[in-house]
Amino acid sequence: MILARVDGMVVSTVSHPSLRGCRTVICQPLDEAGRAEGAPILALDPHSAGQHQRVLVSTDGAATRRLVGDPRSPLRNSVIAVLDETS
Amino acid sequence: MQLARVIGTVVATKKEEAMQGRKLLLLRPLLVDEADPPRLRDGAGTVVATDSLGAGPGETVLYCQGSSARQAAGLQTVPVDAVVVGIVDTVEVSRHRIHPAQP
Repeated sequence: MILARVDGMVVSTVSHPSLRGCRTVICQPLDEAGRAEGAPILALDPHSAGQHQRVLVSTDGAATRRLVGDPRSPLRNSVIAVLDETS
Repeated sequence: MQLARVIGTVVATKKEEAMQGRKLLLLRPLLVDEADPPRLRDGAGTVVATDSLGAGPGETVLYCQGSSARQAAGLQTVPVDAVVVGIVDTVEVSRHRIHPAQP
């Protein structure tokens, strides 16, 4: 999993059916000090994290396919937690 | 599997139901330093991993990434992609003990 900050949101009308019903957010990976680290990624967000909130993103494709209920979904990243603190 | 140093902890209240009660650690991957083989240097990328072994900040651990991480006991239905699978006692490279660091 990676620490990330929610930087934005993506809306797509023409998309794979498994993308419907769950919002997609732009997540900027962070290091331990909260500095941006690497390129932003997209992730499904069932927790409705707000703009600039810190989240935990999992790249577990099996869990994401379970989340959308489609065993043939091409999606891989999902937000699995909204962070309280890191130390 | 990879070596990493525990650099912190992560706390989240709002999370997947299956993640309740799981300890989260912040890891910095470690690589053998090619310029100075008897040492480990920091790798790129910060990783968050679940830990059931009781590792703490400053310790060197072994972790697994990817779907193999879920093979660890009791994680089959948990959306994790990184798990601490060992706490490292020693590391030896070319007959040099590089962990714990020699004085």
